[in-house]
Amino acid sequence: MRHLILGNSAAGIFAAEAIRKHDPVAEITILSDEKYPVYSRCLLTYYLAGDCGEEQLSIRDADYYQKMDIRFRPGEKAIRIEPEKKCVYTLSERKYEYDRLLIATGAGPEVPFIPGGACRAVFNGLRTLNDAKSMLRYAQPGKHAVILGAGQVSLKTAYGLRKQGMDVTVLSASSQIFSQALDEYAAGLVEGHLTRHGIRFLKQKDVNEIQSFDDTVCAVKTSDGDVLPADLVVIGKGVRPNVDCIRGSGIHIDFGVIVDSQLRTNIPDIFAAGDVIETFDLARLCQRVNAIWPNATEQGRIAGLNMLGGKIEYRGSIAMNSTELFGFSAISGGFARGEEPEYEVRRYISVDGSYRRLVFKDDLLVGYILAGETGNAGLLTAIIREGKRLGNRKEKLINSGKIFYSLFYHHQHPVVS
Amino acid sequence: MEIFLDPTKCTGCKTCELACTVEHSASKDLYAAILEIPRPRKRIFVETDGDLNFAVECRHCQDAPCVHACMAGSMVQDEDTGLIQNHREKCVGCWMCVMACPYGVINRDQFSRLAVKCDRCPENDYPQCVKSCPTGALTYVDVPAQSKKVRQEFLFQIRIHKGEM
Amino acid sequence: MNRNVSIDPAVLKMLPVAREEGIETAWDRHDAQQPQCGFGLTGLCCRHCLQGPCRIDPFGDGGPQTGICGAGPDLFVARNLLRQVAAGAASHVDHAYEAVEALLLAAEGKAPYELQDSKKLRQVAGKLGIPTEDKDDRSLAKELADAIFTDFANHSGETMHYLTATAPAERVETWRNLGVLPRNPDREIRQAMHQTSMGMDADPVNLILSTVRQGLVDGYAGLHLATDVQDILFGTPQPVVTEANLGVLKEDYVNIIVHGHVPLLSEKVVEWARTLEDEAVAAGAKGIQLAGICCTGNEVLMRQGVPPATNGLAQELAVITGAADAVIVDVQCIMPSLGPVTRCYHTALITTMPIVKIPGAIHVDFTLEKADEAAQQIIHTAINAYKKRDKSRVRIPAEKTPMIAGFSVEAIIGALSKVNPENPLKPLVDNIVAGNILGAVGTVGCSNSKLPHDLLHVEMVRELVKENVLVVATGCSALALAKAGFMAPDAAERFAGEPLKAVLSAVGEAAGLGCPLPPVLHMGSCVDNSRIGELVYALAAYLNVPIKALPVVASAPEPMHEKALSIGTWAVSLGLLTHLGVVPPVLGGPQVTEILTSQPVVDLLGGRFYVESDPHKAVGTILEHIRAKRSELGI
Repeated sequence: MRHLILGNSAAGIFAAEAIRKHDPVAEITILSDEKYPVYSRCLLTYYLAGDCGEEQLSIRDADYYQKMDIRFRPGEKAIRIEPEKKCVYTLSERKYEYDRLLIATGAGPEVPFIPGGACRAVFNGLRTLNDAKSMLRYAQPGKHAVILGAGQVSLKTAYGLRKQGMDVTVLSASSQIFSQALDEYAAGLVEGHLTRHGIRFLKQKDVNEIQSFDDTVCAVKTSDGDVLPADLVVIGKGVRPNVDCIRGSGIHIDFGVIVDSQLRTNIPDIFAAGDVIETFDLARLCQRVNAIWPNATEQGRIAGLNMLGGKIEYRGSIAMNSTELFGFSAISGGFARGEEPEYEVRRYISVDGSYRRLVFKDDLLVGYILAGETGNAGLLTAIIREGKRLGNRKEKLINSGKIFYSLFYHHQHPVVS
Repeated sequence: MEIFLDPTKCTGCKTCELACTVEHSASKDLYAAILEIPRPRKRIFVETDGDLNFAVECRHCQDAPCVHACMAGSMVQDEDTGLIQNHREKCVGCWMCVMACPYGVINRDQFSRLAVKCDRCPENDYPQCVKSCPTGALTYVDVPAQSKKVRQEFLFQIRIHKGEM
Repeated sequence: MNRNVSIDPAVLKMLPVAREEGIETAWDRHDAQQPQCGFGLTGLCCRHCLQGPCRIDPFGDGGPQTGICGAGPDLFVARNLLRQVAAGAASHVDHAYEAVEALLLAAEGKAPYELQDSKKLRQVAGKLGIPTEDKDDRSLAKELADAIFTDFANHSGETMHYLTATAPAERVETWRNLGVLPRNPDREIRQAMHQTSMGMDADPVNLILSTVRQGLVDGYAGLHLATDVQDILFGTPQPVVTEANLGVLKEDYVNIIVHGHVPLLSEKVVEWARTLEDEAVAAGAKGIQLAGICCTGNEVLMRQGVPPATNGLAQELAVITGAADAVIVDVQCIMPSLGPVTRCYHTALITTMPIVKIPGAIHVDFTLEKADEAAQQIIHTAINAYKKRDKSRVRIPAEKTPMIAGFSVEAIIGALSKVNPENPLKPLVDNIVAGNILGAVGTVGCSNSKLPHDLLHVEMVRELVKENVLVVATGCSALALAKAGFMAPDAAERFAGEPLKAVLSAVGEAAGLGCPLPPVLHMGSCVDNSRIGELVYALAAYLNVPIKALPVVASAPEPMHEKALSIGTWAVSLGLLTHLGVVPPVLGGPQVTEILTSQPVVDLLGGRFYVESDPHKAVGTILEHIRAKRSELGI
């Protein structure tokens, strides 16, 4: 059996490992459009900050592919899938045949059009090791970095560049940073902490133009006419699924690839997992792309098992976020904002200034935010994922100063395991 | 071998917490450990629901959420032992595992920026939490002897104790 | 129990017997207690109010850093320590108080005690400013007892008289400047309890100063007072030769063991055992063999030459020999386990004090007025028990070691005066100056199941005397050293460094001992630490330097009782480096630990605590300290 995996990150690797664990002889091929063995994209900001070295980025040992008997094909960007012939073509015009195919091509940066944006010192997010390496060449102490956007990757990039000694300004179009994951209060805590560490925030401002010459940026012009000095610009406007190579193959795509509960696409023998797919959001109760590492790995593992003929159901995903910047931690999960009237929001600020927001729909927990003290966040994640009605434990949860396992010891995991 | 807890015997004395911290210190001696920098961190957590006390620690789950969540590749389940170990040289302290652990038993060593969790005391032949438990609430037993049925019987007893059945 | 439990060969022989007999000992129970609570070990548990117990997380790992009332770690530790030291002081003061009661009743002719040492009576009365001339002993003793009771009825802010009459003026001034001089010992102990109750003192430093005050209460209303009065009543010890360890029990004798701390009853037991020996013979025994355990043992050893059976931690093993016909206990360090252990044998466990009763024991109510009757009843009970002894279960180990005890200050001065009658201290000081005696260490205190029994006492002293340090010892430390042979006639030969050996030989010969002085001088029970104090005052006065300048160190190698903490506090307040071989429960309070063990306390008092459980490291530091003090003195 030939298993072909497009993508060499979380979903692809975990799928390959699941296949190998249960089938020692299957042929497994992984195509990557990058030249590096598997590394963690999520750690790139740590690498940028100097918190970890390049070797720490690799999540597997150097002899990993060999040991796992995986045919690893770096620099092979898939451009076309031909399901009838059961093969995939790459940019280098090679053809790869498969019995089972996994699309794990991930997501890439949204690239908005900004005048002057086509410049080497302007980065569309921080998505690859190459991005990080070239960004570091511009990241000189005292020089100016302007980050357009205030989502998680933008903030982590700002942190990394600040740690490199740059003068960092973050432009946020809305009045609140990190609005995908945090509410206004938690975002305010993060913003305050980052401000104390020297990162400047300009909110409700958008960019009009990047002033650049050749490979050099010199300024960013904002929507209200300010001119910010800049030696490096990072555009962080979110990500979208990498579906280019899928187009024309007949695989259903909405925003991301559509899969069923066993992570199969509409085409036989083609599976998809990771940031490229839409899944059922267990908190929002709708289809959604929740492009985060833990979801990708879990989906990868299940897709791999199902490629071997398993019938494992993927229950769905939730959005989750864990961010630690200059020692300040914020974790959120599920539908953390829940501002619509059908949701009940309960907030709690502890004496040490830590913040907790719980979002309920009746007695179901559907979202949470912890900022400051974030220990035991996983308990809340588990409660959301399990979708268990809390009954009288809802009040216990709301009133407990600290989230304790024992408050919920009879959810599906037995305490006496 | 698995660690079991009988909450009806747990007095909440936290002896296991201290024994765990000392075992995971450089000196392995209480008096020296309390002076160590970085401070050693515990991996077992004594909690109460107001009625019963619980010493909670890593269950070393199959298909563990922490392993899935770990974006640094540091949280790994050992194929042979089944134990989930965090490899400190890879951990960056992103707390994704903390976000994912359904038991809330991963501690954050903020000084070293490391996630720390039960490692079953690899430098010792016996988990120190169990060894330290003065009431026998924690036990370390062979799994085959403790079938799933026994576990469920246990839970059943607790729920009866709590008047929920 | 695989650990190294003891170095005493008799203990090592008896433990398997205990196991064979299915009898649990302190070592078994120590193992069963492991691990001991870390909050208790670090002093970070507070049970002073009913909101508690509160605990502070010593690792600061998400656990609380204050109690419910807001007390932080240093406050926890300082409050707990003050309570412990106050309890230690209370034990000695209560002991001394009873001795004074006996003195008064004896003086009034209401209790059957003689006043054995008229010279001491006059000396003690003299230091309190009581005119002694033309007074008979009884009326002087009554005046003295009244004067002492005045301290206990002191309702003024004046310092207790016994302290100012006893302690060196330089120390009194130091303590006065710190505001730690005690007024009325009872009041100070009461105040310590009050000060440490909920919602009281929140200043760890102020609490430590109160702890120092408790040390002084112990030193002067406990140790000195008890020794002085007991010497007056029963005589000041002079050298006696006997043997130590369980081998002193005899298979064909009625074995009567006295255990505890106060000699008021045990002196009577000794007296009546000798008187009633015929009854034992009539019961089929060859006679009565007396033996002592702990400090009651030391008291009757020092004055009556009664051989010690063993020290505190091994007390149960004396019963397990199967040969103990009666164990008579008074106060302190009496393991409740003696109840169940004696019930396994024919042994009569006899409690005597209203505040020490043990279920299953025979209680003989001991009152001073009826001391003779009580003692006779006890001897009869022992003889009756002997008749029920199961001879097949008698397992007396052969171990016993010859020893010389009885070195009161008077006895030491007496021996030295044979070398230099005009100036008895001169030979001692000359030899210190010459370096033949490097310095002196007092090893005192208990035995503790946390350490291999007797190991620290013996190993530290072995190194010290080899390095020509003269050792004086009291309490269970002295008994450990006696068992190990350090008080034997050949001890100087076996253990002392050459220069020290020469000095000990010269003094022993001059004093007519017929052997060298032992390198470890047994100075008595734990209240007799006052004797070490007296010796140190005399040395400091002779050299005209404060005590803190002397090359002298105090050590409690295996402290167990709260009394060890209060005695240790007194030693530190005298200006001595004071070694503890067991960590007291203070390490959870960094500030308190710092104050007690380093420069702050040295600046205030001249002494400090030093904690080290490794005997060799401890000796290293002690020797370093002695050498530093010598070089400061220019010798």
